Amino acid sequence: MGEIVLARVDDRLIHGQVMTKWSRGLGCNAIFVIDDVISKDPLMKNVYSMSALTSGLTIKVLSVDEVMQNWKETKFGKYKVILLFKNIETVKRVVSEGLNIQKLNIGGISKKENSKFVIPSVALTKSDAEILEELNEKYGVEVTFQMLPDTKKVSLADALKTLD
Amino acid sequence: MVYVLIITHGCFGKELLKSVELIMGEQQDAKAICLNLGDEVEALRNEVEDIIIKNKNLSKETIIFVDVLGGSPSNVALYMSNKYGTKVITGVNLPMLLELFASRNTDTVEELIDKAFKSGIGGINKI
Repeated sequence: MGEIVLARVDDRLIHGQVMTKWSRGLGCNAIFVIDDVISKDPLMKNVYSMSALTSGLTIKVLSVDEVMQNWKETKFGKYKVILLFKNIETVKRVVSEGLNIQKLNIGGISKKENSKFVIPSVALTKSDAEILEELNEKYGVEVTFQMLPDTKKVSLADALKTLD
Repeated sequence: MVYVLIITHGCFGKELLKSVELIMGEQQDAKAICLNLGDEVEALRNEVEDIIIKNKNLSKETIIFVDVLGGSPSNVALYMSNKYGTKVITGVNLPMLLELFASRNTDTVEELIDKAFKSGIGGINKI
């Protein structure tokens, strides 16, 4: 049985912070990017696969259906995996379908018109916040905001205060 | 002449290009782009794509140099590589750029890539 060593929302997905900081020290051997749009885009799939060529990590870009199938059939097999999501909605979908994410790191969401920064790399909208509250209250997911393993970690409760 | 585009986290690439010009004099068809904290990767991709297309229309080849494989600059470069066949070199350093700019007027893109790659590695010495 595999293990989810980190579940992270980061709209840049695989990039410098993930490759140099998060993927080390957690003992991971794989990164799964979970996104319905990118999983159907051969060009972007290729970009993410190539971006980790020298890292020794297994990279998969999966749709929600594919990741759930993988989870149900093999519990991710031999993989100690970092799950990367482009957005919070996708996290809600996999959690509500039964993927066992206990802790969720929100690490990078770029600024939109109606969003507010809760840490320097994450700007949340009201609807993002509502989904995160639901994930926490209904499914017991511990949500924290942190860009890098050694930068300031903000709890969901404190982040929500920033939005009010 | 081959167009040289350098993309890095922060302005390392811009300074690198200044170092090249300090040694070799001013260079045409060379540009460095900084990716700073808070910058949109999407905007970077559009900027780079515009440059690639503009060069293509002028029948000019582009070589993209980036700092590290796996970073956002390299993701943008790999996107261009997949979409337009643009050549990409990661781990940009001064030795490879000096070699490339020195050979840019005479060599083909393939030869330049090869030379830059070798000089980049050969420029690292343990003494």
